[in-house]
Parts: sequence; C-alpha cells; structure tokens
Amino acid sequence: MPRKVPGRPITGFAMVALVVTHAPHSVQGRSVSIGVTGDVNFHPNLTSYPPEYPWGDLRPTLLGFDLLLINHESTAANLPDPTPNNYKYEDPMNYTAALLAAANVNLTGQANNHQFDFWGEGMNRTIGVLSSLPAWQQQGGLFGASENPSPSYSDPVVFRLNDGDDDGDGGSSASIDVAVFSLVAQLCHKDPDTGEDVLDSCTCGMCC
Amino acid sequence: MPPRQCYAPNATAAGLWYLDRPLYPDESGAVAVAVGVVAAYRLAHPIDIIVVNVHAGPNFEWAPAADREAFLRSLSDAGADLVWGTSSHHLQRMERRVLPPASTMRGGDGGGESDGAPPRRRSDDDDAVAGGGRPIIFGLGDLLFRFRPGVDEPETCEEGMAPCEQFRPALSFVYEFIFDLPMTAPATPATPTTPKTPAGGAAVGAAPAAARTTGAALTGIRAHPTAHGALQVQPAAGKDRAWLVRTFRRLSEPFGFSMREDTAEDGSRGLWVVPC
Repeated sequence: MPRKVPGRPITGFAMVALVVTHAPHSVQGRSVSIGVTGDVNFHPNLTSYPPEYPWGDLRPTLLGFDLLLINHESTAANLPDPTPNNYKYEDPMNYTAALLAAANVNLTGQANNHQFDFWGEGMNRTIGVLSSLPAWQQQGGLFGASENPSPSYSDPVVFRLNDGDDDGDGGSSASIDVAVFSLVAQLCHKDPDTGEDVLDSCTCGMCC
Repeated sequence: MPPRQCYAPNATAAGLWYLDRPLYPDESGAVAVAVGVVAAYRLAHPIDIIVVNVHAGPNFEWAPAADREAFLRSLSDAGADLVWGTSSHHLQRMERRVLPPASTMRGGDGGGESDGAPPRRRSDDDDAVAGGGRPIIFGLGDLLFRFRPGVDEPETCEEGMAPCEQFRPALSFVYEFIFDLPMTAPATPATPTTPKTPAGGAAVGAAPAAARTTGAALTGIRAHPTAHGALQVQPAAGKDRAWLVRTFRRLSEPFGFSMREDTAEDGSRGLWVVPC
C-alpha cells in the first residue's frame, strides 16, 4: 500500500527558518519584481557541471528579478545517521552555495519538512555551507533569537531595496522594504491508532 | 504556550524556535499565534511588502483541505501582501483574497471573495492587478527536483491519488510579482525595524537619506512556466506550457484569478495572472 509521503497530515510544529543568500539588486525605476518559486533541491551529480547548468535557459529570467525567493527543500549535508523518514534530501554539500549564487537566489526558505533529515547537525552544516555565500544571513525564530524572547520575537527577514539614486546630486532616493516570514507546519504527527510519535523530520531530536 | 528552541543563536544565525502544538486541527491556538505574528508585525512596522512563505502542501490533491485554506487565508487577512505556499510538488491554485468584512484575524470563513470588505491598506485600493485583493499561492510545483515525486518513485504517491502522473510534478510556474512604488514622501530618517545588510549588498540595508514609501501597489503578476529534469530546469513550451495554463485556469478561476497571454512593457510576450 502506498505510503503517504513525503507529505503528512499537518499536525506538527510551526517555525521560521530563512536563509538570505545573496544581495538583492537595486530597484530600477520605481518598481520591484519579486520572483517566488516552488521546491528546489539539487542532484548530487551536479558537481560535474558548471554552477549555471541547473538553471538552464531560465537563468536570465531568474537573474532579472530584484528579489528571488526559493523554497530549499533539502539540506547540504550527508551524514551517516539520518532521521528515519526514508527521505533524505542531501544537496551536493559545498557546491550548493555556488549553485544558488549562479541564479542570484536572495533567500532560501528553510522551513520545511526536510531540514532535519540529518538531525540538527545536518541543519548546522547546511547553514555552514550557505554562509560561504558573499552575502548571507540566517533568520529564524518564531519566538525570537535569544533565551529570553524579546517583544520582537516575530522579526522576519527584511530586505531594503533602494532605487540607486545615490549619486550625490541632491535628489532623494526611494526605498522599499520587503519582509519575508517562513512557516512550516508539517514535521511530525502522532499516529492516531497508537498515539506514538511518527517522524517526518524530527526537530532537534524531539518530536510531538 | 512556551516555545522550544532547536539551536541557539550565534553571530550569523538567529536561532530556530518552534511551537510543539498542532496547527491542524488548531486545538491549541497555534494558528492564532502564527497569524498573530504577521498581524502584529503589519500593524507595528512601516513595511511596504510582507511575504509569508508557508510549507503548506498537501501533496497530490487538487484542492487543499478546509483547514489549510483557513490558515493561508488568515495569513492574508492578517496583512500578508503575498502568501506563498509551497511543497505540494505540483501546481495548485492562486487565489485572490479580499478581506472579509468582519475580523481580520480569522480565516476560512469564505471563498476567495467577500463583497463589501473595506480595504484595510492603501494598496488594496491601488492594486489593479489583484482587483482589490491579495494573492495566495497554494502551490507552484517543483522548480528543480532530483526526481519527480509520486512518479519516479511511485511509493511516494499519496494513497488513493494514483496515478500521480496526472499531477505533472515536473512542471511548475515561477511567479514574478511586480510592485510599483508610490510617490515618495519628503525625506525622513529611515528606521527599518530589522534591516538586514548583507556584506557587499549596496542596495540593502538602512538608507539614511531615503524617502520612505507608504506602501507598494501590486501592478503585475507574470507567470514563467518551467519544466525540470533531474539535473536542470528549462522554460516549459508546447504541450507542457499549455497544460500549465489550462490547469491554472481550472484551479484558480473559481477563486478570482485567470491567466492570459499578453505583451510586457519591453515588448516581450508572456503569461500574466489577471483577476476574473
């Protein structure tokens, strides 16, 4: 009987995890374009190809956006002790950063059910790989970034895009702020028959 | 509802927290918390555009369940200019959401339209492309995936949904949302609440002399059809492109959006999402 994978009935957690991977463009004129995509993961064999290869003839379109946001449904890790969910999406490790940079990906949403395919260590390695990008930040935390959650616990990633009118001629420049939240609600669930925790990907080794 | 921490913050990472409460069914108020986060941010910050990415699913179902609809609509009602649902592994609808006349914190109480709803933000009036609403994406498909879920590994097809070939998981849209800036106000100190200034990002971060905008109007949604193999994505053409357009229309037109071929300002022909 087919299993209901990789998606499960949503009875899991909510969290936020975003990775900013690249500096956005200047705003051209008085408009901005925001590109959003579906799921992305990379085949391990891509290490044999130039980093531009996976984007094919779509690459000029992707490069034309002021902001490009993708859902990175994978980890840049391959460890011997994966979580027992049978879906271990590992990107080609250190090459992932080059692949993302080749399309000027500005932000990867990491809040999905495969971020912990290799436990917390896999996520840490993913962050380490992405941190090699020239402009990188990781933003997460539905409830904040410290052990003492502040009133600003809900901060999203915020991009400030300028129109580039900084030529010193006295003219004012305009800017536009774009805030991006990311939520996942699908990490694990209780088996309705047994009441036991069932792992999709288990956050920090804890579940339900 | 205390949060639990996955990993600690450090110099570059803000850490990761989660709610160990179910969102669906929302018996513990977790949906209200998640929606409240967006609503509070919208009210408290002079932000131009709010995008909320949601790992929404479901996989291999043409119509999302009512609880998922409610959750995504609630995020829109709370102030998200764009709700960006992902992870379904195949195309789902885009919905044009108009605020319900009553609460802005609860969703799922109607379809994509709610007549008579007063616009809560300036951009709701001006967003010609959205016709006074905000877009909600329930699923785009996979832009690039090492296999075709449900097809290349048939065991991943949802029970009862076979054959999953019907969902064409190799096909997808990249949506391009075009926002126009309004006339700028006199220069005032820029006070972004949490500016992110990646090193080397000249266009990002605080701009002390910048005039602040008062919101951005959605003026266009372009759809770029795509088809991927194991290693590469390409623009979709021919029958693949036609299937994407036909499927988008079938799924989205009952919820306020259609798609048509049109010419962009630069003269290029392309697919555009339009209200209907």
